[in-house]
Amino acid sequence: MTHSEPASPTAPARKGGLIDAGPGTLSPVFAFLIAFLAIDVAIIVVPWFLERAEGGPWASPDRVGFLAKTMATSLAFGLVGALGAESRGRTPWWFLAGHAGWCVAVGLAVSGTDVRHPTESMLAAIATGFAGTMAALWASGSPSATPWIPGPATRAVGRVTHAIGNLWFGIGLLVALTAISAYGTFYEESYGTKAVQHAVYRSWWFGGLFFVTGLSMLAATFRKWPFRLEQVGWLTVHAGLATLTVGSMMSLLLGMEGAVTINEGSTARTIGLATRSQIVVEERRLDPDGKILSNRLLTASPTFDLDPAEKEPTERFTIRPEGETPFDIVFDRYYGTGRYRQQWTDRGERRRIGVESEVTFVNAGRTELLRLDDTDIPSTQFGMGNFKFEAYLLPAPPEMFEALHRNTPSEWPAKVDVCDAHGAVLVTLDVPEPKSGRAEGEPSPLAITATIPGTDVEVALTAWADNLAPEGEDKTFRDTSPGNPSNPAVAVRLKSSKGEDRLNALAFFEDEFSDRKNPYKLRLRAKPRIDVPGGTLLFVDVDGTMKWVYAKADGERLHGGVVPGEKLALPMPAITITPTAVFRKLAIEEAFDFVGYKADMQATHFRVERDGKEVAPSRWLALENQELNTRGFALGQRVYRVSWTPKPADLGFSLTLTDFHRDFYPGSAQARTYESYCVLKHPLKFPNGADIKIDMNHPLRLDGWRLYQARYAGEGTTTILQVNRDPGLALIYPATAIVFLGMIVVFFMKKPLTRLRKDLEARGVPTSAHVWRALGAVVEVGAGPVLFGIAVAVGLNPQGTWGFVTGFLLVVIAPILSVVRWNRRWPTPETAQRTSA
Amino acid sequence: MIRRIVVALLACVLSVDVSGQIPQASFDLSELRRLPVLDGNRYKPFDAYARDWVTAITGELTPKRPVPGSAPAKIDPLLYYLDWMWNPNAARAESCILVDTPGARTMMGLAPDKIESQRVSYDFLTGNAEYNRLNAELRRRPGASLNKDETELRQVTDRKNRLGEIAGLNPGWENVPDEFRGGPTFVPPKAQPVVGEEYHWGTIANLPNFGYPAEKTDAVLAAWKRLGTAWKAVDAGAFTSAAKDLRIAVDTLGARGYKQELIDREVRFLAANPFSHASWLYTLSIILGIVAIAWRNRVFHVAAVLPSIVGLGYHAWGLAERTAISERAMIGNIYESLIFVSAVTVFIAVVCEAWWKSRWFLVVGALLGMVALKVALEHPTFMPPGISTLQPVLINNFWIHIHVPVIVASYAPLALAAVLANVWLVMRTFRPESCPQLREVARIQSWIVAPGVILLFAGLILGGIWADQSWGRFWGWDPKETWGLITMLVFVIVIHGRWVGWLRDFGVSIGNVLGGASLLFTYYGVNFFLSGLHSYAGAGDSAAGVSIWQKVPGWMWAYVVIQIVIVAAATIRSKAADGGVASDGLGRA
Repeated sequence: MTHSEPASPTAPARKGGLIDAGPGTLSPVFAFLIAFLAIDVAIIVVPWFLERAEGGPWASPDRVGFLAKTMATSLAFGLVGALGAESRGRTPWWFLAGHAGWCVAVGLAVSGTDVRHPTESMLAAIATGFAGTMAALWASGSPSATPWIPGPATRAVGRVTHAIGNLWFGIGLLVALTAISAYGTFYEESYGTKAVQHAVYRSWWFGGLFFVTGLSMLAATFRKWPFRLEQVGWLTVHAGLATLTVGSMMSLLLGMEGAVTINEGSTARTIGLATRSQIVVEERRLDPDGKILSNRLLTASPTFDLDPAEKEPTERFTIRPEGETPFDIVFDRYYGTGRYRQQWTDRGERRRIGVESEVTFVNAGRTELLRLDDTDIPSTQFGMGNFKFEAYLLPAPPEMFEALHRNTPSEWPAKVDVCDAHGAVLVTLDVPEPKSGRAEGEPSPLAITATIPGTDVEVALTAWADNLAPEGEDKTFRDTSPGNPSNPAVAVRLKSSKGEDRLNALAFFEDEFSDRKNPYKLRLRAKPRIDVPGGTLLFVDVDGTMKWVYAKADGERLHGGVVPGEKLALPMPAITITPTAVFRKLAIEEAFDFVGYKADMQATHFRVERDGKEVAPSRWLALENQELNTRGFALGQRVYRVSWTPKPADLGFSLTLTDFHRDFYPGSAQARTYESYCVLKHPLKFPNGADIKIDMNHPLRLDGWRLYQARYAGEGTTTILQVNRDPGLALIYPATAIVFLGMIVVFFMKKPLTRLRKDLEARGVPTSAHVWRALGAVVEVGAGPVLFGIAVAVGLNPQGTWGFVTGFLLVVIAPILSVVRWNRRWPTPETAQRTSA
Repeated sequence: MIRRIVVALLACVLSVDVSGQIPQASFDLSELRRLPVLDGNRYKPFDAYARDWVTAITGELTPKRPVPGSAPAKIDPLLYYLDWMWNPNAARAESCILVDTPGARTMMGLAPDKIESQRVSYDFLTGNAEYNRLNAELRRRPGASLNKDETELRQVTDRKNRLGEIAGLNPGWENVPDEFRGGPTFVPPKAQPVVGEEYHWGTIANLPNFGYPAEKTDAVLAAWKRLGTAWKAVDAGAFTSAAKDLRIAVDTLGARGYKQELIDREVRFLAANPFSHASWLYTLSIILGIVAIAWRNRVFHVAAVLPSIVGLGYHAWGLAERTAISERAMIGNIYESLIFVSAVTVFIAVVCEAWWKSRWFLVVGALLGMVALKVALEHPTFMPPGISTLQPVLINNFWIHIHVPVIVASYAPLALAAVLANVWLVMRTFRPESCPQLREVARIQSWIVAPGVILLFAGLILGGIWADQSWGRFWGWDPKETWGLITMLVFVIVIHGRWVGWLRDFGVSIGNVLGGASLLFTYYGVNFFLSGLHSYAGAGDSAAGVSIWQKVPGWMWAYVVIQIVIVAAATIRSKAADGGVASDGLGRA
């Protein structure tokens, strides 16, 4: 390895068996390798950066993978061809012949053939490279009579690649990488992870810097040719780092990162990418059958969300609906973190009742807004620890309000008045207490009759219901909640010679048949007490006056009137509730306030313009919110819908969430583990579906995708899985192991290895023995860690104490032992004597 | 003189013992200490619970109780707790609630710099109109919008409410009979914990509603009443027997889920206080070690090594105990990692001392270990020492138990190198570069960087494996991992600079000082100034409108200034010695 051949006047100088093109140049073979590596990588990466935003073919994993593989084989063929040629005194430019496969590959990619015929394209590229190499080897089959001398072109390439390996340049690059990384962490603190990934860590220039650093390191390594035995550790580190660079490039080019949110019972086939978002504009139409048809008019990846410092961007998308004047959707706000704000006002057009209160948790020192309205939200649960209450808003007549806040049991008998059309009572019937213990739906039978004085009309009460079903479509008299008189009613039969009529007398509402032709009206006078679960707060709108009822756990009811600004007299010392406003014509307006730059609750605002004029009300969208990420508007006769979501990527299989499960720490609501039970369907591997569980430490790995249990949403019925695909890891893991190994050799074995080399040289052992001894040293140190690494890689995931002990022995103790052994063995007494001689 | 130091140190160690100042100080609390309590997600002994709560209120590990007419006297936290609970009228008037920042004191109308303003009473707070107005206002604002003093004001409210819960002063307690007000959550509900459901324990006031048979309920209530009576009557005998009966009565309620042997173990661990003892032993080691170096004295050297080894034994025992009690590795928060890193530093220093036979390692290692321990032990409001539970992602994962120890172990040699670099620079200010001691310090700082870089690299990769398994990515440019990489790159640049002859002893020392600064930022700065996955919960407030510079604490500025002074002084002296040319670096390659 170390002895150089004597240079003859005709043959070029050689260093370590390779042509030496002079001082300050790299040997041609190394120079070509580095030069073509740089060019080839540029050919892959530049189009990738140009097309990655819109997801063009040059940014697709398939093409990048095809080009990367053909590049690797072409460089290898080129190297073999050049080595073969130059060792026989021919020109190392035969490198180009071996590298010809790359030109074929690029041509196939430009024509798009690689996508249509992937296998054939790969074969064609490899075959070309193979043929080129064979030609190089055949041409240099016999030694040249006139040995090749490096020309100016070769020397130029050698000089440039030699310069790349300058250590000052390398250290400068390292300093730059360090400084930029540090700057990136502060940029992230201001603008968030998404922004820094786009602006720094995934930018073309940072990737380029990283690659140039790797290239510089490779060149610096070749500058040391011919290598000495004790440099094996250093070579190992640099080989590992080169592999690491390649792996990182693969991660950057081919990796994907995102998340998928699945509700219990629903299915996911795509993931939402973390790095890019997508705008979709659809036209929505009802077809004659009442089905909603949507016609997609725009799918685009916007850029307004990439620079969070710009809060007021202008990004315009022109929509061209069929048979309609085109219009523009203009995004004019982007907030990395927006706070959703709902303004409740009394400016609505229709009657809609609402009440707004401030709830203060005295001990926790926190105040929340409690908003109830009579349409959307039936109830809200509030509270913490042992203080919990549910709140409702409902309209009710005075009789019902009384039944809600009544503190004494229901009074019996109830009375049914039969009145004439003017309301004068003609006859009154008593209703006894109904039978208890009835099944749901079953009314209590009655048989009470009376005759209206002066007529032959017989009034018969036939049944009693505590809660007459309000809809009553089938007209049957059903009691939906026997025992809880929330809508007490009596079934009444009026019979005379003229015929028969059946009506219901209701306690809280007007007789539902009062518009009938018969001249009688019915009124049920009951004093029931409605069951209300303990800890329930009811806001009751009693004929236009807002009142409240609170049911205590012990059954007592409190009530009062709602006066904005006055605290409700509740028996909960730790919670105070102060109504702040009552609305009769409630209107809800939405907006977002700017909170920060970091992508957390990302919000955007769009206008709809035609010829620069706003033609529809502008709206807000929120990316992370399943309800706020879609908003519609009407324009002319048509209805459109704009949605803003993470850019989807197809998984290639589907996941259906059957059950989501949380486990808590005792004494708190802090979750300890989350588990998602899913059905996995894969067209080839699991066509019939398979039951799987994804939990904190057991991700799903399939087709290169990995899905992790990350978070959950809502009340624990929605799971959020982190999804990731990173083909670079296949290189990164071994690369880091190699670097680690090399570091040990560099730092702790340099001295014994130097002594070994001197001893071998003193004994005149051939070069090949140096190589074997060097490799032997590295293998010896690395055997334990590599064994452990292989065990992990094949799926023997170490667990618990025994995993730890085994790992410790293999990864820590075994290398230390061999390092200690080497340091003790060299120098031995004899070698010390020989090398000093 | 050394003897006097030893005596003084021993006196300091012994004076940690608490002196009650209340008549009940001589009571036997051993039964009460081991009463299990469920609080903060964890079953813990009453002793630990009282320590956590008293520390949270007063901001002191060994609280000092104000004594009228004389200096505050140290008191056992459990005694203090019991005193508050059974003497609520005194508790509400006692100035024990910490107000930590001068700004918060000013906001309440207190003199910001007076000692008396440091702690206020419950009654003072309830009666302070300005405080109550501010409190009502802060309640309406989201936590992220609060500045440092406003956050402190909320902390004060939390402390006040804790005291109010102990003594039964908070609204809601007035309906409860006097003898059952306040106290710890030591009463289990009848229902056993079910996986997937929330589970809480109650105070004595909750017991009658828990639905136990009357005889069991009555036994607990009666024992509790007797305990209170004995306390008020200062009857030590009755107190001891009541405490025993209470524990037995609670035990018969039949709660499961906790292990009494672990509870007892925690009581013993708290009583032993191993980390504090270790820090004193390290201090002794430093003093003896400096003497040994200055006078090249072998006897002093042996005398310096011994306390470090004993201290390390104490330290390691404490780590093992805490791990056993918490049933997880010590990786949860910055308090635990400081305790761990200080142990590793001293251990590595002792090993290097034995391997490389340089007396500097022990002194510097013990210094680092002592400082880290002191920092951890002296800031209970900032780093609560109580054992807590982990986030879901940290549990049951093999790799975190490898990653954290390795990365923390790498901090130890790198920190040693940084301190040795400072030692070199300070010595360079006074001695020529050719002085043998300078050569020795330069040599050993280069040696110790090597294992540090290897361990840091391994730690970063192991962190990547762990992140890959739990977050789904190997490397994500999270601030903590990025700064780990930056620290490694700084040291790698220094190593390359030395190999190519660009840097010599002087340049390497400056490079290692920079590496040390980067390490400190990685270890401490990232968690508190940059939010990310590694931020410790609650500490990483990204208050709107608060710039990064305002968040830097005073001691960090002091650190930066000291480093600049050391480097500048060494640079000036070394230039003067070389006739205006720096001995290496950019001056001479």
